[in-house]
Amino acid sequence: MNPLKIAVIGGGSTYTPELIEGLLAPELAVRDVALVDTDPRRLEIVGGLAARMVAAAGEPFRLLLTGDRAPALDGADVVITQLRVGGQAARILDERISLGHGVVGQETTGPGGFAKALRTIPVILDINREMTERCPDAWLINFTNPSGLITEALQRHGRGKFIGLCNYPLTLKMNIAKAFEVDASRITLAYFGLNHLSWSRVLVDGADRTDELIEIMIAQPEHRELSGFAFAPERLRALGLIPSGYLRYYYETERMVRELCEAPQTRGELVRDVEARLLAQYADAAITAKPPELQQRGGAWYSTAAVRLIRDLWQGEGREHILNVANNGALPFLPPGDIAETPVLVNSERLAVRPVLTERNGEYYVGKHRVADEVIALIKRVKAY
Amino acid sequence: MLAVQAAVERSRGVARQALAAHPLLDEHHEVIPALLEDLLEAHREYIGW
Repeated sequence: MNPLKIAVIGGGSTYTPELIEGLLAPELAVRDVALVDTDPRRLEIVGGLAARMVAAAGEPFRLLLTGDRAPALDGADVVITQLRVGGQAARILDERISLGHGVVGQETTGPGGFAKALRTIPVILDINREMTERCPDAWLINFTNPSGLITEALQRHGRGKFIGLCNYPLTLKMNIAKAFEVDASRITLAYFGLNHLSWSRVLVDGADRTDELIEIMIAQPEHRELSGFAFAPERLRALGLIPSGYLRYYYETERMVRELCEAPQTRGELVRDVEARLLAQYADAAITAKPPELQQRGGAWYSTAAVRLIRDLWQGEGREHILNVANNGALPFLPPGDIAETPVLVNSERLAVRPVLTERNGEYYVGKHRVADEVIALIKRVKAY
Repeated sequence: MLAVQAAVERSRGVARQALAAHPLLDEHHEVIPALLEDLLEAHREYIGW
């Protein structure tokens, strides 16, 4: 494998030290990393820490900090987009405006995610167009939210090779491994749905242990929010599936709006404050590693998910990733070109969707478990929006 | 789909359709026009239509 050139659009993100740590891992051969950001202050601070991290590791790759996409994209093998058009201030407006109208105000779900999509899709498509000139063979790995809509926009209006990546599926898998007290390699998620609108059955060493996991979630407080939210026991048992925590906005809508309105801060306001503290730490020239407080920012396992995906795109041996790609039968009730978040076998640039749902007489199953009609209906509705 | 179409076509009409199709707004159709205008106005610098 020839060493890779990786361009990171939105390189001034506070996530970047996490990503740099992953790129420094020996499992990837990297020759150049270019961090691109339109905010020179953030680029200086975050890029400064990134440079110190690379130096401390013995400079295994060159690091370019730039406000200009062109030199970053030229000859890139991978382009990672992790940008936030309008910054946290725009996210906070999404949240506050939606809540002011009495509806869910959240980064990716509902009108907040819609507004973020309106801001972001034109920028991502512009990057994609520029890639066709400067690095036509590169993979675009999109981490920018709302990842499902962004990837759908690339599918319908973009060119080249692209994948939507979210850290949620890997985080879920790691949390499940912890609950079962087994190594994550023994866990397989029979995972289906859309980004931030997903459900899973859970297999350990190939055996379906979902019902046992549901009882663990109900009985053991430390695992109650394993999927991102403490759903009511009766809902978990009735579904027979592990619902993504983001489904709380659909299953508990009124309660969520009330709690979001009553909270002293929105999530965006909280993250804004965390980021201010993080940037102050990043600016300290004595710091040469990502600070522990970065965990409060969210995005757990982002770096691991990204690095493993890049590794397997180049030298894969058919390992499974859960990605946003054309569903190709993963959601048999949708056209094959529609984007789904689905298990995919990644093998040296070849992506093979592993369908989880099967259809029998108009009903859908995961293994022997029949999926409730309301689950299928919700996927169809959110995809149509 | 409609959200992507609205972003690409820069269309208020499609944007209204998208919000009206969202299940979280099923019982809030009356707020959609004002909600959309508030979002577009707040993000005029980035959305621009």
